[in-house]
Amino acid sequence: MELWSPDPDDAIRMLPPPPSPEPGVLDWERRAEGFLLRERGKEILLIDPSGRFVTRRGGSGSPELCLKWAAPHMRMLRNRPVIHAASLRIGRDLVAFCGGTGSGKSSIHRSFREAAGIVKCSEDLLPLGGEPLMAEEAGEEAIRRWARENAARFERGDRVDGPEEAGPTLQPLACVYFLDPARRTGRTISAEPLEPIDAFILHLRNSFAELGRGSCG
Amino acid sequence: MNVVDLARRLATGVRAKALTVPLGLGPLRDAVRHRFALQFGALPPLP
Repeated sequence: MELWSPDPDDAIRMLPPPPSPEPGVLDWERRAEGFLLRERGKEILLIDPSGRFVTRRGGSGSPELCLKWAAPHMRMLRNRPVIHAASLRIGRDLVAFCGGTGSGKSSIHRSFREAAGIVKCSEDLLPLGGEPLMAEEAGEEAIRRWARENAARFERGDRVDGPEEAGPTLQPLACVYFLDPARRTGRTISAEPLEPIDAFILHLRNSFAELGRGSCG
Repeated sequence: MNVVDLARRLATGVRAKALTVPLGLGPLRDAVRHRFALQFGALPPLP
């Protein structure tokens, strides 16, 4: 099949449908009352359709961890984007490392933090905001604090309102590096520029769009 | 903004690179130090 097209929207329409995802550890189901998260088939939490609050549905896992799972999806539903990325500030440049589990995101974050002059901003989540789009440097810390402070309420079954924005800590994003577990070879680090269409697909994969909606607003 | 617009804006507005890194924290740490030596002319201090 010829997939080349000058218009990315045409190219997307021509792509074959994605394979059905393997049953994962975490699975989402859309229901009339919101988005239900299951862990290994067991109901964990429910986010209301607008992403404004979350309630516990069961499970014996850490309530703080459950809230951290919910947070990026609540943000996306409220039109506040977040990407699955570790991030560092090197001098004035904020750079992000995107990738799923096992891609080396946390390892590279740990390796860089030993270097002088590096500010670690996030280990797993990088919220974005502002116009033009910039990174909330302290966004992950705000999410962690929200999860910590609301864990008891969540465990009791109370409704927990979503995390607020981190505040005026927006930084321009200088570069996004995409890590691929299949590319973890050799003894050196190398980086190759990506074409916009490849970057587009990789950004989609790392944008917490699993709730099945085209819109995050 | 929807997720497609978000991905499009990031893909067209922010530099993107595919990164190849060594497997294992030890080799990765060495590679980071080497990379820094090349980039800044000095190795960062060890912990």
